[in-house]
Amino acid sequence: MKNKILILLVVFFASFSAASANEHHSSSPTQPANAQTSDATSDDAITQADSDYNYENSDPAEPVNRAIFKFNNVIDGVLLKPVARGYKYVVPQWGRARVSNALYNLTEPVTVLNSVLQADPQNAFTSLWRFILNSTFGLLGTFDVASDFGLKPRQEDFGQTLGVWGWKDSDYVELPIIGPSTLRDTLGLGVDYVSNPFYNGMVTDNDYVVYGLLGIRLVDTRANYLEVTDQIDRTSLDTYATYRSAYLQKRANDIKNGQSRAVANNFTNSSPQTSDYPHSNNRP
Amino acid sequence: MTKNIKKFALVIAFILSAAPAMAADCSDPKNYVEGVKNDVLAVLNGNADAATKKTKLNAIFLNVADVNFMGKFALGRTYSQLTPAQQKDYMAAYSEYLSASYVDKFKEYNGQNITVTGVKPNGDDFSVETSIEREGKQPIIVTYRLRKAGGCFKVGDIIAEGVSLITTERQDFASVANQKGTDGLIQTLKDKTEQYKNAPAE
Repeated sequence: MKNKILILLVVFFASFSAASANEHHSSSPTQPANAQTSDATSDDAITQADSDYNYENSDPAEPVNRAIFKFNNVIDGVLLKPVARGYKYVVPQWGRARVSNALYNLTEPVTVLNSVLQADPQNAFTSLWRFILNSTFGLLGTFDVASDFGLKPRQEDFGQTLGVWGWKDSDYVELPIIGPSTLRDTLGLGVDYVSNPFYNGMVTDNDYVVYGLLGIRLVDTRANYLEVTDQIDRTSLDTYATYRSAYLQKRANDIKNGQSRAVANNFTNSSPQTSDYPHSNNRP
Repeated sequence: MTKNIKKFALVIAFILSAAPAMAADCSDPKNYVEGVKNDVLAVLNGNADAATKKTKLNAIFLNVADVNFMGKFALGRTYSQLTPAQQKDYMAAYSEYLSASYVDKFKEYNGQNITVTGVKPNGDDFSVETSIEREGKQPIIVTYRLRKAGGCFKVGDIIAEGVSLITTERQDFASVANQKGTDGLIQTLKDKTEQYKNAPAE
């Protein structure tokens, strides 16, 4: 247990010192100009339009973060990626899905807790029932039987809770090994770890089990992201900036439970009449 | 005789099934996306070789994507500061880059079921949500932002799990432009496209 706290402290220290290195140099985010101008034809309307994702791309410790990113890429190239590829090669998809499901099941208590903290009783009960059903009928979570009953998973963590509580934008932080994060999410990660009965010593105090689980989780996560990272590494011009942007957008979307402004909210299954909306098809 | 009739019926059935895919539905955003999806799936599930498929998908992509809008958005305010020649140069480079990097993704497709799950107005545009089912995993939610263009629709953005393609590109491009200037950015776009064409995804 002492070891684990030590590791946490190191992670904390690394991230906070990284972020505070340039703290008084807080970069100002682009100010939202109203995107929906009447003149959709002009270039200015497009180029000055803000993204529907009005997140702050704040990265005051960018030089430090980029250095850690480089370090992470080396570790990823020589260790994480080869292990993940090997895992994918050896274990068939069916088996990997069982592992992913079982690991996800271990996070349900954290989702229950954070759904409560976010005053979201619906997801709290969904998650609780998912945990009960999948742990038993789903054979220790390896099968997601709850989904078949309409109890769909929606992961909540303390980083998201802080977001719901008002800490929407946070400085970007590149964590060693773990990768993209923010100050808010680093704090959240620590709280998730401490509040998860499977990792905090409540269920088992056996360090081999706990570190084993964390190790499998690392491999599982890396394997699940292989396609995405391959695509980004191949196509992006500045991979660091691309990962940063994608991470911040994804977290903003997670905090809003998938209801980002540009991701449709209030989806209806019937298409609205197009004629109900003003026309602006006179673009070049 | 009956054989011929059967053949004839088959041809008719084929034409009927192909017809809706050919004419895009410009009145309803959901049907438009369904139409594009069917076009793409017809190519993906066909027996053509990979190169032919790629050419066909590229044609669909360039027809469907609002490259003009996406390119301008991705460069942001910098676009207005460029000379007309630079703007032209950039847009050509962007179009190549976008189709080269995006269309190649089709190789990852292996029979996943894609359903259009909903639509909602988004300002003047529409967001059409689709769900890509995966075996033993949660589906991936991909939202297409449809813009009205020339009496029909065009796709102005592709948002996967909350991550917008053009927003990510804007951050990516801005970072490169900060380091290398706009000409450096355009050159990097060209280099990346070239590099990508020479070493496409396995």
